[in-house]
Amino acid sequence: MSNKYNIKISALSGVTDTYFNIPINLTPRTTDQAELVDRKFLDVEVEKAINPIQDYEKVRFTPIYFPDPTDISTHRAIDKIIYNVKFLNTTGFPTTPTMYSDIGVNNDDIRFGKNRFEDSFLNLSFYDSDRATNQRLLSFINIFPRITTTEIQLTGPQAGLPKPANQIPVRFMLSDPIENPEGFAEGFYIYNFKDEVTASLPKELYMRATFNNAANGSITNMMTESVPYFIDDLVHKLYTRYVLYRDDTGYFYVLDETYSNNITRIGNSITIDIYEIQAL
Amino acid sequence: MDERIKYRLGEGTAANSNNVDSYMKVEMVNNESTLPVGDMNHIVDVGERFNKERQEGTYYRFSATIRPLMSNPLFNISGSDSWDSFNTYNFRNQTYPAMGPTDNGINDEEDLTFKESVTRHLKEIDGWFGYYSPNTFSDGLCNFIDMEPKRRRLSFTKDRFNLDGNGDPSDPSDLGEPVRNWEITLTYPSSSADTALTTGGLLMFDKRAVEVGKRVMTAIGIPVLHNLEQSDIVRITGTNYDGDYDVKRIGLDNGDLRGYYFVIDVDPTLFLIGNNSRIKKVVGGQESVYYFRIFEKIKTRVKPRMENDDYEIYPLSFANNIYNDDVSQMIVNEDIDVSDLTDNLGRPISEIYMTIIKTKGNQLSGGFNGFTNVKSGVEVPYMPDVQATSGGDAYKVDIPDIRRIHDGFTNPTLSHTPLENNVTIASNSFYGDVVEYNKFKVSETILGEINHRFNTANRVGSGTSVATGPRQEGYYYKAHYPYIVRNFSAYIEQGDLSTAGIPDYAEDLGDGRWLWRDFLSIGFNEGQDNPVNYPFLNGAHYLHKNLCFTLKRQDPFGFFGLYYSQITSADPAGDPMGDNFTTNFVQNVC
Repeated sequence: MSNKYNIKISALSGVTDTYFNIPINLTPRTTDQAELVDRKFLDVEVEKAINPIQDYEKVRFTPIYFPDPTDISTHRAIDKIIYNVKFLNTTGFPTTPTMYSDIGVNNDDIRFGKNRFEDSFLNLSFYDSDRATNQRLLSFINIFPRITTTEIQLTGPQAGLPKPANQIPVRFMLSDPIENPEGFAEGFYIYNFKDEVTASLPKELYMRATFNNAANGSITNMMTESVPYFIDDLVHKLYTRYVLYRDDTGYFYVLDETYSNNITRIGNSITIDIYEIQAL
Repeated sequence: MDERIKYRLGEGTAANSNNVDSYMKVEMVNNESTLPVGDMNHIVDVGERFNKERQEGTYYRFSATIRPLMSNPLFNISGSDSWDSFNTYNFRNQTYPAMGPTDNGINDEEDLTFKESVTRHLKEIDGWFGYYSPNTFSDGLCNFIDMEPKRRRLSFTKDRFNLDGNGDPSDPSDLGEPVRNWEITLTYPSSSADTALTTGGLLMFDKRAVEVGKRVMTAIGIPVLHNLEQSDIVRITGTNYDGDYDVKRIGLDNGDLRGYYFVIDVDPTLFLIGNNSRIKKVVGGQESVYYFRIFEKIKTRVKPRMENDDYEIYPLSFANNIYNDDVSQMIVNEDIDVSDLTDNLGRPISEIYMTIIKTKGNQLSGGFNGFTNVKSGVEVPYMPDVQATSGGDAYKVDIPDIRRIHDGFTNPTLSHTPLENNVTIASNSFYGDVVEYNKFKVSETILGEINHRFNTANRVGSGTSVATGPRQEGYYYKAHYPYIVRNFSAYIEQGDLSTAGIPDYAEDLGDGRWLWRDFLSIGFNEGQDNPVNYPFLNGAHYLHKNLCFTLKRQDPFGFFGLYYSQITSADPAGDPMGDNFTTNFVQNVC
């Protein structure tokens, strides 16, 4: 309706006040809106009410390293992860590794496989953040001591028996179960939700370690450096960062060598030093 | 309400006009419309909701437990842990003390001959040929050492002693990752292809006289299953008796080979076949077509094709078969996406196949020279006339009988032509199976399955004086294993122009009729033997398969001309089991 009417006032003779009736009508329509609600509204609301599908599937992340840290497209497999646990003595940290004899485990505990030795474990707790006030525990790994061929005496009258407690370091060695089926692989892989890691968005995990000593019942919290810090600084020295990656070839994790100073890699073997906590 | 009224002021009309007050009465009228009365309630049915998501879900997650049945009777003829090893000092010398003043190498009277050395040292335990270390001064007397190929070279888990050499260049000690002995991928039938076996119908390879009710008739042999039954109609072309015939009987006179021979009422002395002699089944006036299905790598959620590293295989804990071989677990890491995929007949995907391919497994050091190319063919039962010769039946080389394919070209027999000469995981598509399809039945019937064949590279060499070669008998295995994703209905639907809901994959018979089979919902049981009903969670379907994987020899009994016999170093011969009772029955025609 695009008709236009031009009415000249002067054309309406002798009239000063002019009135127009302009009817504005809405034609009533008796649409059955219940049907519309059923067809459209309900579908939308039902979709809104249904929880989104969560993918609870986890995948296995294998450890790798980047030969060139600036190029994450090339990576190599890690085949050995070593956790060195170091405890304070009366003079500070010993220069040599802490031995089991230093933490209250004696020769018989090891030789006879007593609970005092075998039930001790290193606990690695993985958090989603390094801020203690706002973090969630995602998973944890308990690694138990294990006597391997390197801790067996090869000569002497006690050949074939475990070495004395003062010759066995508090060290946990995890190895690739395919390349080294004789090794200890529990904790070598990390498992995480599949859909939380995408090719463009890696996920960071923050690991904090504690040592649970079954010989004396103590639980020792660990940090990543061997020097004491004021408590405000100490809270930033507790975690080791693991970064979960995904690319076309699979799911991997990398130990971040720049986040903390306790990681050393030689070839495809990586060592993580963790120290008994100390504050100023 | 889009009517416009323009009111012009007086000054706009004439120069001497005055603007005066004007009034307009605008009436606005509205009408009410009825809203639904009362609250509206809608109950969401969890089961219905689950079913909706399940039927619409297109993502699949696959896993499989692989139970291998393997052995290494066809071991190397030279190099380490081969036939030739038994000819060395360690095995043959019996002089005591070894290397002592009276030891004259392997030439002393008490020393073993090569044959004696083999008899004494070569052992077979659980199908694996090997030997106990002959060195009495070694740490263990019970170290059983496999002949090459060792079981680690055939295992589904990676060979940790055979590294791929792709290690860290900055670290000389890193020689790379353990190699895979087998590659696995997921495929689906995407297209079809013809070969000399199927073009224009199935190729006949034999005709012979048989007796049916005291009447001499002609039995026709087909290298793959003919899928015929008594009284079916078969159309014969490329012979001197072309035409449609009733199938009088299937199988030979003793009831053998029912799936491969059928009988028509023609005088066998007059009936001639050649390289163009073909058969086609006729159902309801519709000829069957025969073709190979091509299996293509499937799509994943993120990539148009599944990649070589989208799966993992690892040993299943504490799991062995009765021959002590490790059971492996395979898991596909990527979600498979079947949306928008159609099979070779334009239908939605109903089958996904797990395709297994042997790798060459070359070792960088240690003397093992890996395996030969993998060639593909169809497993055909032993029927001597399938063998091609250089004479008038040379056309039979195009019958890809997996047990007549080798690397010797004409020695010891004329090698049949493989479907694929070098199957590797790098290919995107593979020959899948040979099928019959009939429009009237609207279904495919598998007539022959594709197998892969390989040998060790060492065995096709010339060998040594005590163990000569080349030895063309190799190993073969079935290549594709189905996961049934959906079922088609057992009932055929028929429609015409006025029928609503004809699926786009329906077959047009050309006379106004369309035929199709309904695509059944997941979890719906129409009475099939194997209805599909697999878990649906995390927004994906989960399919698992228990797979018995058998690695077989091509010719353990010397039927196919590939068995290698030699006085002192013949390949171990198979020990055939005979039937105690006759189990075949000839069809009764009259």
